[in-house]
Amino acid sequence: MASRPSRVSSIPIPMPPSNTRSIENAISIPSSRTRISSSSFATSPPSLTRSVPRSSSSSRTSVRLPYEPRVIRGAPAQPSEYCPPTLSAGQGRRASTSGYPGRPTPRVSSSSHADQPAVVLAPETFARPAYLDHSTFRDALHSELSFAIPRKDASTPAPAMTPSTTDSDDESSTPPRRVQAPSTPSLPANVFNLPTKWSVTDRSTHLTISQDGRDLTYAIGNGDKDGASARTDDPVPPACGTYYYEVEVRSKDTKAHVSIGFAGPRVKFNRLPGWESASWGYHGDDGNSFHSQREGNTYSQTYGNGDIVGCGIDFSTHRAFYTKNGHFLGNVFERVGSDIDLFPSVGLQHSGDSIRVNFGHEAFKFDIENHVQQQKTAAWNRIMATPLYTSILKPGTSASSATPKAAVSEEESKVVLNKLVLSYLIHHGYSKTVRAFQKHQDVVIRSKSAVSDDKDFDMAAASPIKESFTEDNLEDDIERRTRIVSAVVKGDIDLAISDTEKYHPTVLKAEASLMLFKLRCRKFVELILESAAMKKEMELAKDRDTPRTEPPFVTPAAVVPSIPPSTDGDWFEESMDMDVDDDGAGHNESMPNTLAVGSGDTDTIPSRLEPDSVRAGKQKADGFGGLVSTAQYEAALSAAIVYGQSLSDDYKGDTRSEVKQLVKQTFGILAWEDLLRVGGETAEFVSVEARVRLASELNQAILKSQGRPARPALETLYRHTSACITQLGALGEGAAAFADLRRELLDA
Amino acid sequence: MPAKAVIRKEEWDSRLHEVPISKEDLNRLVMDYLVIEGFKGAAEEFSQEANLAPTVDFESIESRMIIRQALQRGDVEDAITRVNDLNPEILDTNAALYFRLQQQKLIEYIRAGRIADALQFAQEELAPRGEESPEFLAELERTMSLLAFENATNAPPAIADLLSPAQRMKTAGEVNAAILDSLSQGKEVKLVGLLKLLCWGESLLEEKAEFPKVHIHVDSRKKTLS
Repeated sequence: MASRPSRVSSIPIPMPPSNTRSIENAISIPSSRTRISSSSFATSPPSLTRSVPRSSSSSRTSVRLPYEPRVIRGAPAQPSEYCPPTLSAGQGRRASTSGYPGRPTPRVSSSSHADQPAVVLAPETFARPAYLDHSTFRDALHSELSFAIPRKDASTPAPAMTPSTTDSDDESSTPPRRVQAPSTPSLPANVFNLPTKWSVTDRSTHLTISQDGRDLTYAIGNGDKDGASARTDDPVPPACGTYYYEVEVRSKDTKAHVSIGFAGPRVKFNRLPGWESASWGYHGDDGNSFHSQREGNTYSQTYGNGDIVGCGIDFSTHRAFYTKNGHFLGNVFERVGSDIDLFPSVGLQHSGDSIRVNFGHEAFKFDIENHVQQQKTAAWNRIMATPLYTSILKPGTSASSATPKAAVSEEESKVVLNKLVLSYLIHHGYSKTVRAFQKHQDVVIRSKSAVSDDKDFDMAAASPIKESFTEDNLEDDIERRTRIVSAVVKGDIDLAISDTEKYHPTVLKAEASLMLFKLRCRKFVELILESAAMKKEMELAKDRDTPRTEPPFVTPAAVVPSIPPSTDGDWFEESMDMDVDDDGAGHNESMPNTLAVGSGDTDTIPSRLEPDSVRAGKQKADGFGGLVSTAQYEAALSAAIVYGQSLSDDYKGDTRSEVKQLVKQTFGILAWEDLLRVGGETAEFVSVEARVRLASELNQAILKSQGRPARPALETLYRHTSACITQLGALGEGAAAFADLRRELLDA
Repeated sequence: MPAKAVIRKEEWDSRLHEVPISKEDLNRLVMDYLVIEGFKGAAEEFSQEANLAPTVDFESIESRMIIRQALQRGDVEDAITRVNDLNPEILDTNAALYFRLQQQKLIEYIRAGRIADALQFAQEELAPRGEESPEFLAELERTMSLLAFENATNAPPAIADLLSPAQRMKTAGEVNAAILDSLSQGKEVKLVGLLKLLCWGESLLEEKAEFPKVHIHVDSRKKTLS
């Protein structure tokens, strides 16, 4: 038990053994990827540079690589029809959910391909810079040059979207981080490429690019009159939160005519960054900052030959900042890139000058990690300063964005939290905790009321509990429900049916007795399993040299529940035993299709060393004192068949496909000679995990019949919040990169 | 302004489905709430029932709660003694907190109508501290102006609020946070963080996209999410 803290000792719905978990992970997560990745492939036009295989590119390209591009005058001046295919690839990726408004999508003109310079870069690869680990979406940020979105097995079936398998009732929804997937929520847009090199196409023709895509040189012989700029191949994804790059300046001047900054997708490349409307630049000759102006604003020091200038953008504030030789120079500009794609951009003006860029290829001069940490803390604090508003916490107050959102007082939010926690505890049947929690509430309410005479402040009236339940009702309710649920988990379907009938009759009757039908099918499965176990025991007994002498233990176990109904509160202890078995189930992971987990009988904890099928067999057979006569076996089998026939008779007129399918599966198990050794879908169907799922379904059905949500409100809130943040990240909201739900709330 | 993206309910539901979250994660969030808010008994039971290792000594929850309750019923002296019993450094190293407690004590004198005691306490204990910091002085003045009104309900809200239970809760909350801090235990309730993140994220996303909202109905008989 200690080795698996996740194995909760006393919950009424024990976790399914781990194989369900792995099935869930295998199914649900990749399938979403498959959908996304295939669509992004579909929208990605082939890219010239990326089609070069990384490993062989240097040898191949070095033969034919001209360092200088063909000079195409005029073309860069009309960038709107001269955009690299990679940009549209980026757009295609992000637009995958039709959720990416606002950014202009440049069109690739059909003629431009013909004119493209025959430059093939052989860029260096580098790992994602460490400072980007601070982003919520870190795992979606990629710097690999020829990154291919991993294709998942296309044959993986789509996950069943029934809530029963997705909520916290079912531990199979364990976060994928434990298995293989990244710890960040999967983004609607799957992958964001980081800038990795200067664009071959989007640059002034005065500039030459080095083969690795990092150096820009102002070609000698073009005079000093024209500005010449370039930008990167990919824009900066706002999902970075903060993005940063450094440039090493090589110039004859210590006050170089160099501009370093960012540019939108449509700037002219014969102008320096900062002169154009959608560009921002810090100039070395005067140390000024420029944004859509010819004369800059005083900003900081000049820079020139040998200096390393860093340039960053914080997408949570849309402000830029610069560093020089590792020193922070201050924030500058407002609303940088708040409505356009942003590309790192550099401009040169003197022939012979050159720069070399570091997009994370090597360590940065500036301690960017520390800086990002601070930005992140500041962004998080801004978010935490958000007042809670009432439209989320109260009905009636209109949620329309036209009405101002009224803030909620601390007391009100406490009421909400108490209620969330209480309903969570009730949902999962933590009855002792519920009782203790309520006791606290009563004390708090009393002490609060005592001091609130002088003000119209009445905690008692706002009590989350009194309004919903009376204590006795609540406790009885939880205990009844958990007894029913654990009965299903233990395979005692008769008890579950009779108790449900007694306390929650509408549950069984709902949807033309669908729940009852499912329970009865399971009952049939249990009967067949029992007879199979008896058969097994008989065969084992035959093999034994000395049969036992005690008289056969006669019990009509096949028709009467062999497990006595638990007394109140008993299930705690029994669940403990479940837990032990669960532990054993850990070793099932390698052979997931066996019936292994104990039925909860306190004295039948099987040895973990035995094969699972033997364990299951023993477990079943132990109920018969270890010896089974042929007559007993046949009686059990025929009782099972009789039960099955009446079941089939009762539902023969039901034309629902769900019912038909379940009938088929249920009676299908009869086809197997040795049910305890069978594999595949059938094993899954008869497994204890299936029981647990059925128990969870019944729990939810009961909750639903009481007008309570099938998923605890707390869980829905978490999921909803996470989905909002993920969507914000996909829509380019930079602050979402610093709203790391899981890290801040769960891992901290 | 570009057209809002529309996310249909089915799409949204499947996104919700994909969020990685387990019962264990949620249990830890709940435990965090129980511990920080001082539900000692519930935290103990929950630790058992949910098989969660306790993050703190449960006894420390109890003493925090006794201190909080003392403040909530107005017994500031008792609270100060207990905080010092727990860890004298808490008040020694936190001048603002100590001032807050003394201010509360002054408020309690005034509430009880012990005007002479209030004046003496203010002059002897609080005035010297007011000289240390302009913030303290402003707070002291605000508190003293309670005496200007025969009936506090006539005072402007900014002053009358000092007599409200919310002021006691605020002081109690600050002391609670300081004690938690001294125990190296998180002091912000993570569930509050979750709610704030929800409010922040949902209202921001509202500007950019149409999507199904979530509402907690706290004042209906049964909680539902729609």
